[in-house]
Amino acid sequence: MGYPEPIERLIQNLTKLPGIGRKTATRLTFFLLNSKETYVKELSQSMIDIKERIRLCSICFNITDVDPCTICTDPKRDNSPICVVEEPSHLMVMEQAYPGVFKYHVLHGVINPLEGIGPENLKIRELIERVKSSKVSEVLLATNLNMEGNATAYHIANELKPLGVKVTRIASGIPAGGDIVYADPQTIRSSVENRRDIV
Amino acid sequence: MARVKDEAIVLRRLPYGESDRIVHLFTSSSGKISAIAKGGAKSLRRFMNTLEPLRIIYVEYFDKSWRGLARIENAHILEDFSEIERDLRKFFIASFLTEIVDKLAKEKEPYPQIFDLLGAALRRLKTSQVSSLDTLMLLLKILELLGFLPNFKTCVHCGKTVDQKSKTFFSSEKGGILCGSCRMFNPYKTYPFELLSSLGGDQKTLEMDDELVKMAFELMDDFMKYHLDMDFRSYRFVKSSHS
Repeated sequence: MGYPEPIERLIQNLTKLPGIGRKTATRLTFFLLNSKETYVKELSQSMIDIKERIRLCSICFNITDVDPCTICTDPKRDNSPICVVEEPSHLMVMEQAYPGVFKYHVLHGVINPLEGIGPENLKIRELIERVKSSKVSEVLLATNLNMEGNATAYHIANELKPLGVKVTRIASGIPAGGDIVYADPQTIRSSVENRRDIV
Repeated sequence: MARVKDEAIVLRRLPYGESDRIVHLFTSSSGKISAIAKGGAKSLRRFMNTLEPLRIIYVEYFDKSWRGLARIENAHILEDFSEIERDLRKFFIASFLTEIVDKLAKEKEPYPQIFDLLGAALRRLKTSQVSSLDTLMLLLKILELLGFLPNFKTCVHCGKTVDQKSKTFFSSEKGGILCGSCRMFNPYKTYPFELLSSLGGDQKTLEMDDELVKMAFELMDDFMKYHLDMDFRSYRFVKSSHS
């Protein structure tokens, strides 16, 4: 004899989540069964809300519940550089390190020919239009420092060059906590090229 | 379990779990291998910046012949081609060449000529411009070495030699040119004889104008789609970035 239909249905739905197998799904289902009704209602409503209320900001393409997002409408950031990132999660990392400093532009990926992703599949055209139509002091390219991230950054830099805007790239080199002995020649070269005065 | 030391071109890397990485390596002695790099995605010491595509590396790995994945123990960069990233067109070409080798080369079958050819192609892309014709020649050469080159010399239906000026019928389905008589019995497309006779000639001295090169890419696209039954995702970028 199996579980009653509503329990079985919830188990089946939970197993669709990444990293959740049937055992974990069963455990979660019984946790919810024994939880207060207010918690279960709050949980289900918050899941519905992310589908119904979350969308992309029409300016920076970050995920938001208001359009334009609170970062784009923040008057303190009017003259801030635009920091270009791959994903919304990368935006959060930059914002934690530099709260209130940047405006952002989320590309939603990087150029990756092996995955069939070209410049036209990203928010690059929108970035160029944004730079053309507004006064931008600087564009900081903060895509990952790997092959795809670098190729995307160089492509954007080449596209923005005729517009005369200052375009910068996040520095690369020995990471904090890294050991110079384990660094490859490219990383060493990069850290020397990006060296700075210490005092 | 054998410990192997080799040179390899990194073809592809895939995340595996939180901190590991699976890489496809094209090694000098053993051909293509798939290997796992424990801690390859996060460690600041092991493999930092090493297991990235478009690098030639020195690699030490344990080859577990009874299981699919080798285990990378140690690696460092011998040559990097990061200059290729600066030019989107070069990046597309390099990605395409590595994708072809990655998808068509059989695991653990040595292809020393392709290893040298791919290495030479990356060195050339690093330092100079590579035309669409050069890219086509590289594609044909790699397909030839892998045994997937269409037959541009004799009729694929009757086997007779077709004279240069009559080379106008190509059948993707049959995998090569057709003579005037045999085209009746096979699906085919018509191409200029200059194209098909050039493709059947010496690939090292291939000469074509831009229009013919474009046609050659379309012909190869049809052929590869039919015979290789694989989606080469980077091919459309190479086709659309002619120079």
